[in-house]
Amino acid sequence: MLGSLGQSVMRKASSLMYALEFSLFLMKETLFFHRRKRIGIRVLVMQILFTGVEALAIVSLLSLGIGAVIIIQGAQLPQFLSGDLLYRILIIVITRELGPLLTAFVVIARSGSAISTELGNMVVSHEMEAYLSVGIHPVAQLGVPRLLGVTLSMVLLTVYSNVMGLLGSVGVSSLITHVRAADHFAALFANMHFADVAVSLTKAFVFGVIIAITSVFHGFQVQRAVTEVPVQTIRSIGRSIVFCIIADGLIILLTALGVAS
Amino acid sequence: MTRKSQAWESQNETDSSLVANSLETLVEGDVSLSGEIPREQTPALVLDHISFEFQSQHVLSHLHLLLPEGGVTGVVGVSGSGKSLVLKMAAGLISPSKGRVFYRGNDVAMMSEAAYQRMQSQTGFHFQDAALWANMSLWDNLALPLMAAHPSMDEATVAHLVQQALDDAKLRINPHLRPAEVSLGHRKMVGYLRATMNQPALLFLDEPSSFLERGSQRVLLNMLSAQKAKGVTMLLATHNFEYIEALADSIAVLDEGQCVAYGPKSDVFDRDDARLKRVLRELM
Repeated sequence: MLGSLGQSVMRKASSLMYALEFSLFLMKETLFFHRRKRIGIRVLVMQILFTGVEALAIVSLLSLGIGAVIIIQGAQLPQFLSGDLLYRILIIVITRELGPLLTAFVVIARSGSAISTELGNMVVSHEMEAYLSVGIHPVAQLGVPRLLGVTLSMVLLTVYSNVMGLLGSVGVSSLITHVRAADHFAALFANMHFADVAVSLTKAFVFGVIIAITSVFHGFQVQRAVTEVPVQTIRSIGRSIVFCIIADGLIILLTALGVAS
Repeated sequence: MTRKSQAWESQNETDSSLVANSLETLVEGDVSLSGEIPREQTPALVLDHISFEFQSQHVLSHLHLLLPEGGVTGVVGVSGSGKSLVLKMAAGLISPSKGRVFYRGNDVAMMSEAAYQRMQSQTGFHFQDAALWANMSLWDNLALPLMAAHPSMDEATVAHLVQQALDDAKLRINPHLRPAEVSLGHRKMVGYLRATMNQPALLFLDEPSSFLERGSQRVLLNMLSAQKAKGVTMLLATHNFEYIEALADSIAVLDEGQCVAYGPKSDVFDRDDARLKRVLRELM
């Protein structure tokens, strides 16, 4: 009993070390992307197109809707729509929290799952071995452009999501309060601090790195059978969500500690 | 464990004196194998008593092969006897559970990442199922090995070499199609061309003639004969005895993960061994 428990702990520790090594290797290789940009640039462009450009529609819908819903629900409290409180709440909720987090969920669902599935299938069809056989490191060749592409797309999509979220809220509040949209925007910008933008972009960057590394790692975890691909994809999605939420909590905590000190 | 799963582990450079001693022992210690190999010549590849276990099952046991420079070694055996596994371990794509693989005197498992990639750029692997990169065109499948091995090669030279390879193979296909859009036979031929784009010194061929019609089999055999004439070392796994007859200098016969015979081709075919004769009967 104690022996099997010990073995289980050892296996978990070994898996964790392996995942850490993989992550560090991927990040280290990313620093040297310029050396292989000739053969990696196409993968990077395709990744940005898929993760960033093709996700614009769903991010627009989601962000406009969330921005509008916050105003509609908040309007039930009379004091919500009066004064600068409205703008601070919108900025904190949309820019600092929902923008990066909702964008991360969209990217996990679309790109994270696609990356794990694609890489897993490549392992099964011996394409990874084919990369090795011509002297190309598959993790560097396939992982690095995906890490760069997902992270860059995540940052840009978050900025876009924030703008759309604020636009949705301003549109609805203009209808309710009969204040001109331009005045709403002016008030929003007046209430936005550098820290709001910095926290939002930091979260977007961290989430992007987490999603990319988790998805690539689980893609490479497939060993032989096609049946392993959905198993690893599900793990990749679940773990990306959990890691993003943990990272979100840590960033909030660090920000709060920074403000307090 | 596949090489991909351990590839990011930094590895130490080989201790060259240790390897030299090991090779000396290997060559001198195995009289039956060294008979064909001049003592002074370092083999291109040595599989030093390699074994492979999967889920505690012995898939391959104590295989010992020496591939002399410029020689062609055939690996024959019924399906599931471990031929593809031998090739992948020999090429450094899979690490053996036991034993070592030496490429030109260097232990593959001890190579640094740079040395390993250098070795791969000097070797070519033709996969049984072609294993072309599905998200690239056939053209890009051929261009990528060139660009990886010669980062400074200009686009025009890459294009010229790719076109020349397609012409030499008499392949009448649209090279801008993706692998899924052409037949398996065409994929196999492109897979062979990809393996030879960098003019490898050592070629691993896993069932090269399977899925090819007679005409393409002959074209491929001619191309392989030309490679042999150029002095390219080959490790050839096949069921096709026409290829063995035409190309192989020595053969290893596998049965259920064990090598039942290894030596010069004519010698192996003449041996009076019941197990060997049974395997050869099943193959012919």
